[in-house]
Amino acid sequence: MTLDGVGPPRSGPSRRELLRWLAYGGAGVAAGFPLLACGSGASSPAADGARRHTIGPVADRVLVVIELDGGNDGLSTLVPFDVGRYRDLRPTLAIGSNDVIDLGGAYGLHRKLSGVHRRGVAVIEGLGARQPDLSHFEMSARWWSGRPDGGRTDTGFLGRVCDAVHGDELLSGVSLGGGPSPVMVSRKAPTAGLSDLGLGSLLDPNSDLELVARRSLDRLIRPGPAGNPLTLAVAAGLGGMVELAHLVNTLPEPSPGYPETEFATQLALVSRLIRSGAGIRIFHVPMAGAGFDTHEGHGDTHPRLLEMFDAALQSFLDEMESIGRGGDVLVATTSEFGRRVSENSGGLDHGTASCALLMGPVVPGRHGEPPSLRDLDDGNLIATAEFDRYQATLASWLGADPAEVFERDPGVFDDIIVD
Amino acid sequence: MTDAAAATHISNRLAFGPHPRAVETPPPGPAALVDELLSRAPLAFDPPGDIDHGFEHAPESVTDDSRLVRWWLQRMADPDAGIGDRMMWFWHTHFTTSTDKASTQLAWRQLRTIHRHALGSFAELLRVLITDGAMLQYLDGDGSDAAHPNENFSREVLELFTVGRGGYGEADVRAGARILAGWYIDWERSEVAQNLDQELTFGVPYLGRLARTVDDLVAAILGHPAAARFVADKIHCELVGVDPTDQRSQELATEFVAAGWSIAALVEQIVRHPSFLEHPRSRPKSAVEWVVSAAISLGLDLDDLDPWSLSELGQLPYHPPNVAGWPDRARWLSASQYLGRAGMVGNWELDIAEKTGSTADPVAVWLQRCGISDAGPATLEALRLIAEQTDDDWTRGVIGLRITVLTPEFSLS
Repeated sequence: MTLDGVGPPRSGPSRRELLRWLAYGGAGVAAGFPLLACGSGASSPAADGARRHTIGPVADRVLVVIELDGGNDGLSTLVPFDVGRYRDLRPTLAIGSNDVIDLGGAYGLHRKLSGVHRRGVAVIEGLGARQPDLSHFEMSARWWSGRPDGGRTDTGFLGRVCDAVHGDELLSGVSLGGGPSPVMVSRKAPTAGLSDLGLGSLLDPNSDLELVARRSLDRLIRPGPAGNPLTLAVAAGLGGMVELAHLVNTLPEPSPGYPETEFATQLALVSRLIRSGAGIRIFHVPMAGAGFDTHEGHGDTHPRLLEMFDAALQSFLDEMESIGRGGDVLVATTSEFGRRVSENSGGLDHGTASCALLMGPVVPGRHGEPPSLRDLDDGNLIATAEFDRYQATLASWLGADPAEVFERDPGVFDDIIVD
Repeated sequence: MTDAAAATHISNRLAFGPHPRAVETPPPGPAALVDELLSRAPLAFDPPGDIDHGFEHAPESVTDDSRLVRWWLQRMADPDAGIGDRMMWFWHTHFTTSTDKASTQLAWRQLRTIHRHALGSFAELLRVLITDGAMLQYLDGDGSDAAHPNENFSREVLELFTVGRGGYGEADVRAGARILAGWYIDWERSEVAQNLDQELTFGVPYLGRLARTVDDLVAAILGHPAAARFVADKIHCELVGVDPTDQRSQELATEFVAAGWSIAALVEQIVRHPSFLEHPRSRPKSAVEWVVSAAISLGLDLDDLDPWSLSELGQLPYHPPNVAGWPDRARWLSASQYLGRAGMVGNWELDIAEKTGSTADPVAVWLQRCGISDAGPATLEALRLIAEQTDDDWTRGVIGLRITVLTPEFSLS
């Protein structure tokens, strides 16, 4: 692909690089952006930033959800290293005491997580579903929808949290990943994603073509009455596009010091979006370059993934601390399920319950109930809490009423997040 | 629907969009166009290198996955592409495989298999894909052994490829895994092989039958009452744009089985039905559909496209987000999707731009090239503004063409 050979310089490398990740938003059509009533006059993100403080501190809180796609093995994350049964069931893949940080009660955090451990990490144990399923797609769908029972919703759990907390900001929630993010589908709050293709000549204000293109787009995004609802959906998508382009054009530069991994670049972008003052409350980060579906080669792959996770989080948590946001940026992991307790030939098949990690304003250490290694369901762990309780804990901290987000009252975990 | 609107609709669904014709050339009649596109088998299979080379040290022409994507996108944009190539694409979105995990050389062989069976027998296609090398690698069938069978492949065969959720139990998944254990990629001999030591010596219960071999497994799946409906419904949705009614679904499934699982016969049944012409612009174009149709309309050679840019739009062939394939519908119209599309088309160099900008009625030329015969008022106003507010032919042409492919009329299939 060549650029047009005419016209002023296009967006520089930093802007192009910054557009990475958001391939297509979790937001569905209807989740769309408000149609611009008067053309391209998107409000300034800086002005939105000033408004935040009038609502009170809870409105400053930001949730960063990191999705460990493929099914993260809880027993290799929070390791029952001193439980004999664990050794029996994992003859080659059991992790020994030298490779863990002892958290007490025969359990220890994997040593590759020592960076986040030093900064304070809370581990919630035994999360899953009462009647689990072993399919990625089914369990991902349940996590995304916030329904451990598999009941279907046409919105995502994070999208509904956005609906509950959003004000008049341009974006409530952003998903930073090339994969689908049904978790961000909202009813009314604006949620979206960015891509790496640059703004191109139609949207880059440095381009000669932009002015006329923008005027033309202003006509397209006000379609008037249309018989086909999809026509309105396209107009909404184009309207949101114009606003997103403006946000991208005004983002602060990336901070130095992050590792050179795709995942670290994702977190660096989260930081830039936080620093932009656009008021985004929720970030969904499907961890890039990391597959946790370790049917094979678990012993080599899993520690490498934890190491990548730990290195990037150290940079991010330190940066949040240094800009004074350490107290109101909460990082939380999710994964569709854990893995089978017994190993197959060198790997671990799909399982059930697993643990989640929380970083930022948290009470470090173990929380929740560990699943039994003795009492298994067909070789799988039995969850000690359904995952919507964990999700409700995150939603509630962010200022959402769980009753608005969940159809049932899942309760919350107390004393894990510093309120 | 006018003949011109019908021609665009039919070409969108049975190929990858209409190819530009001169303003004065009348559109083909719908019946003739349907006949024409349905008669087209997949274009000749001509990979850029020796895909039967030994597994080790294969030439880069067949191990570089961006070559595969480029080759495939160009086929889609070929003026002679029709239902055969359309169904090749469909089968890839159905039997997804990713070269993030599987080898590209094996993906080429899989694609040849799909090419061969795209309009043939679904039973045969399923049978060969179950022991396909790329598929075995992608879903961990490769190396699964009888003592500890890997359930991944067995589960996806049922959940995603054949009967759908609810049609089977965990015991079936486990039994399938045991039946499929022992298949592996023999890298030294460069073949997919079965370790006969691991073949069952007795049948195990699977979907209500006893099954011992892969052939038994396929027979049991095809004997499952949900299988024909699952596949027929999906193809109906792809070609018609909406789900079939319950009665129609049952009819199609019955005819599908009666016709010996002939894909060509099923497609014919779906497309010859009046409902085929009743739902134009009822679904968004996916990223691949949009890129290919935009390239056709704007005269862009897809060989010049960086294939990886498609992953920014969330749809790079042979790189699905997961084994369920690409999610359909609404997300192809999101703000971020349009940001990506505008970024992509905003950087395309368009050789035809200046010429279209110099014509007496550039708006009509842009619409004609893009197969839009029924533009709505917003689109007309947006394009006329470009024609009026630009000073030179090139600027007028590039903005006009780029905006035209972002309009609702072009975004929908």
